[in-house]
Amino acid sequence: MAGIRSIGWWLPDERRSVAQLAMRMQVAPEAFAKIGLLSVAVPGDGDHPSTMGARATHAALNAAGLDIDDLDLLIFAGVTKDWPAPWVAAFGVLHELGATRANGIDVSNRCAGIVDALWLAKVLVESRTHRVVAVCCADRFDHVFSPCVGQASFERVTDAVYAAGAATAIVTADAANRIAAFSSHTNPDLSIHHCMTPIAGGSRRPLDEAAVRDGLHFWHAQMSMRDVDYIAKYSADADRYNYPRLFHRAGIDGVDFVACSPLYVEPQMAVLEELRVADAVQLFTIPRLGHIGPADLLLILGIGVANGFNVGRRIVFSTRTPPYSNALAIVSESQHGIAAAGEGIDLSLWPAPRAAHVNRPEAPFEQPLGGPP
Amino acid sequence: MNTAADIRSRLLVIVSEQYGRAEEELIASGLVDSLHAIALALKLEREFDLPPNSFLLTDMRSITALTLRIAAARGNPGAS
Repeated sequence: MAGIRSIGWWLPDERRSVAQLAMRMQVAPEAFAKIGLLSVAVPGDGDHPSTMGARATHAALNAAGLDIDDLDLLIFAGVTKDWPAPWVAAFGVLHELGATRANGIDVSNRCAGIVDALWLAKVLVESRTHRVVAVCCADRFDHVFSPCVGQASFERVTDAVYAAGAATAIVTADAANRIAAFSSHTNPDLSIHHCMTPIAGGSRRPLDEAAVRDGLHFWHAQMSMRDVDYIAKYSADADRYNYPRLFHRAGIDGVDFVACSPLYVEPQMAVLEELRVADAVQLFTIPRLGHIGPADLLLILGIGVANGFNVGRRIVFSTRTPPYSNALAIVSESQHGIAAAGEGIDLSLWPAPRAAHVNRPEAPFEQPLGGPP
Repeated sequence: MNTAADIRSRLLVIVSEQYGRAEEELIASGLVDSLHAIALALKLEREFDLPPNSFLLTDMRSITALTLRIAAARGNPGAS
């Protein structure tokens, strides 16, 4: 059996408030209200996926009582990287750590990569291919969006939510919990596979002067409103598909703690209520930290564990991306035994709930469009 | 109702009815977010008798962008 022994994180200290974001992008602060955004983590000039990932991995190894020489494999599951292909981020992280013997691979599947990488780590540990595997998610998104300040558009508002930071999980055979089950669901209509990607920079549209001039190397939504609607429906269907299968495969009939990280909480909560798992303990990091890609799920569980949330014996990770969604069950017989530590997060912002199950930060604004974020 | 001015006027009425007020910048003002933009797009397709899937995500950002898209879809691409 293999499970999560520790979670470590590293986030830059600087935060940009909603008021600062709104001024920078020349949008009304209310534009962020539905997301419940309060602030985002801002990287320093020297903070990159490899350097932040190394710091998070160092924290995770320390929390597990392990040394860099104990590490057999590092799986990098972040979305952004220091350099383009064929550069492998895992080796960048390992170099920053001073590792000399660990293997490295990158798993690329947008935000769903964390769940795929954890499942891969479990399989590799249980097959005795490796003893100690680090799953590292580290991202900084500021360079993938158009920096044109003051050109407000639909994309500008949600672009601002993307932040920077890193989190790493250490997977070993002697963990007190076990990664018990996995489920995934591919979008039946993969025509949307290219949404939220650069238009230029690949073989179909090489990067040239004209492409750079037109900003085609930045992420573009490339979606019609029907695509947006279809992806929303697919995402809900993916949860309806994954959760029951996950429970069946893990041999559980419910969940104590859910780690998911939707940009808009309401639609996913509606599905979790429909699936009767909405009573599970939850917390959300996007409002305080911004979206840090696949690291969000590790941060959510890490903060929950470090702050004494009752995460119980049945923990579920679930992700949603336009082409693919997945979920993972982590089960323990008694205590989960996960050690959690890191730098750059004020843990007091997520006090463990005494009565309420769902820990959401208070909305920063009057909600002009209805209920809470 | 094919002129840009007609379309714009009708849009302002529809948006006001839907959200209580209308502003040129729909997204940047916080009036519309992606959760609600799809409902607005579907309503506009009905109101302007447009074929399904007439709007891009980026069209939803402003009254002007919507006006241009609707005008083009109704055979008046030069309307502006």
